Amino acid sequence: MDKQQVLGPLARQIQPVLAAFIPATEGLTLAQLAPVLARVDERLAQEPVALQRQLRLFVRILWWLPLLTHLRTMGTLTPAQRLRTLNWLQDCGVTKLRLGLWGLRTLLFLGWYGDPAVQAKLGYRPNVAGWDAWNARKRGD
Amino acid sequence: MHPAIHVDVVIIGSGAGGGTVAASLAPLVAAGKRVLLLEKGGRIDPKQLTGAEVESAALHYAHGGAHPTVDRTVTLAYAEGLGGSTLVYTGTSMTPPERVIAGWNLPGLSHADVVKRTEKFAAQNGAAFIPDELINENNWLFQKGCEALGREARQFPINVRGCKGSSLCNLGCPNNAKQGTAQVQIPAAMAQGVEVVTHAQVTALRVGGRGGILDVQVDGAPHPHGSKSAWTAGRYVVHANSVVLAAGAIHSPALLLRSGLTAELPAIGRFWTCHPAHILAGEHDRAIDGFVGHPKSFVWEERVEAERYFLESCMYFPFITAKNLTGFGPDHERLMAAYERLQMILVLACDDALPEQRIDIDGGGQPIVRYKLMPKTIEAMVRGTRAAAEIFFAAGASAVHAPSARPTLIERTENADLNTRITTSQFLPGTISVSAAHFMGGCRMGVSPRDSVTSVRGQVHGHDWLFVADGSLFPTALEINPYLTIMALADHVAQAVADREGHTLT
Repeated sequence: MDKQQVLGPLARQIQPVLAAFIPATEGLTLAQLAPVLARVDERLAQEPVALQRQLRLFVRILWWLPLLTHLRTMGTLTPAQRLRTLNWLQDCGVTKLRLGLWGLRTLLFLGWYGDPAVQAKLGYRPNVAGWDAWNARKRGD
Repeated sequence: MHPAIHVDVVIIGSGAGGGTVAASLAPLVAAGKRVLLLEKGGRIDPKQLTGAEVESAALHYAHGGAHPTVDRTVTLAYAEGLGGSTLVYTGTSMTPPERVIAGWNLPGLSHADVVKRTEKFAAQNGAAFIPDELINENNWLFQKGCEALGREARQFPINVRGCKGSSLCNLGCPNNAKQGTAQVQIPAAMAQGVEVVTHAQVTALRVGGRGGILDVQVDGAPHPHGSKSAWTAGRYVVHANSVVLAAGAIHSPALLLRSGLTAELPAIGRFWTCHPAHILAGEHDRAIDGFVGHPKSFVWEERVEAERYFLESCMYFPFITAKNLTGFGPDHERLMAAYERLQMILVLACDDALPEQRIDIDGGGQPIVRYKLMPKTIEAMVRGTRAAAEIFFAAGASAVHAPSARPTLIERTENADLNTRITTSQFLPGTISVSAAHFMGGCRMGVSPRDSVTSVRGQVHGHDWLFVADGSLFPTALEINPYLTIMALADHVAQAVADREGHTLT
């Protein structure tokens, strides 16, 4: 597998998890999701192949996990059910599961909140010119 | 293979330690000595820095700023490039506490001497207090919150010249204002004839002749935003009379471990500390705009001795903030949407130097960090979180996000319940984001080879040609931001190197 395509091929399985982590992404198409996962894959390309493999396995586990409780996959749960399932994992007693979830969540946050357009919507407006730019904006220049 | 290279002194690494040694030893060149500095990373041109968070982090940091510990409960941030982590620090310039240096109990290393050297480098780097009018609202809120509680927040000097307040220090200053070793010490060393080679990774170190022999791999690819190496790509063998290891507290111990000195010196890699930290956010009803101005100005450290934590004002970028807020979903997203109204405080714990906290190497010789969050450290972080929550509320925050609370958002009406809302039982490693950037120990100074790696002069026990000059020398955590103390110790070690080379530094 191409190192640049770690999570990209699992976009369909990641989609509902991403929507649970970041509700604003609910309803994004796979095409709209592609730049988010591309950012994640670029970051993951630096990591060992074993870690990439673990992460892909974890995504697949997340997809099938709700079969145990709801007899459905992650993709067919309601948003509230998805959130409950992932919250349970986040606080569960198995450290490896918590770590897996933390890692995936952090990577997806990187993919989403690392986007300069998303950052601008949050009100993050840094400028190399610092105070000069900030004061000019306050003055309405 | 290129022809062997013979030098008098080789310095491995160019951060606060290596850059300082290069400058301190530069007068040796005029005396006919050949001094070489090798840096694994590239030279980064500040003019090409955009401040884009993910792109800049990838450019500067190893592992994108998140090198995980073996148990993956802590992520470690350090830079790779000419200047080392001085490329991405905030320039927080502090002198070490007397109790810490005295506690090291090292004959020949007095607190007065360390302070004298830190003051020299603070002056060299232009460290000064930021004028009140250029301190941003995020920093003032920290100071005002402390003041309202009767706590004394101390302003610390910052080593900048011509700072425009871009707030981008941790992503590399695009205005070249921060005075790291790439701006101050390395240019001074080069001007006096010290040779600097980037993209040069030392893969092995062994004894040879009167000194050491290094295997060096030079990467021929140009740095994405910087220059190519001065040497053509390929493998080199460098023979040096004196070798100064200054690759930082992760890579210096790892190189020693790769070199096979473990059995002889069991303390290599051990007693490693890092001031584990996490970011707290307080939500205000108005814009704070922490993205303008220098991100850090104040520290509150009155409880560092008794309760083992200290707090600093801070500002982090959107992804780092998202990562550090515990959880996900609607609550997390709502807090992120309030980003411009967030005040931030960094909680740093003073972790104990224990033999089991250590740098190790994997099967390929790469460093791995065997570090665990110990119960005492978690307790310190929880105490620090409560103290920070009090500061947020005293500064006027309407709600506080506390990683070790469930639910994580604490409303102002719950201010009186912080002891029950923020608890160690809710501090779940693996769920809470903990990061660290102050790496100390692994080649600790000491008297005996049984529990230390170097002498008080940084000379590796049993190898008079081999020196260490970086944060790995610290016997314990420093309890403040360490860069000036690293410079002071590196300067101290440089004198020992010069002595070996038959040269007296003035």
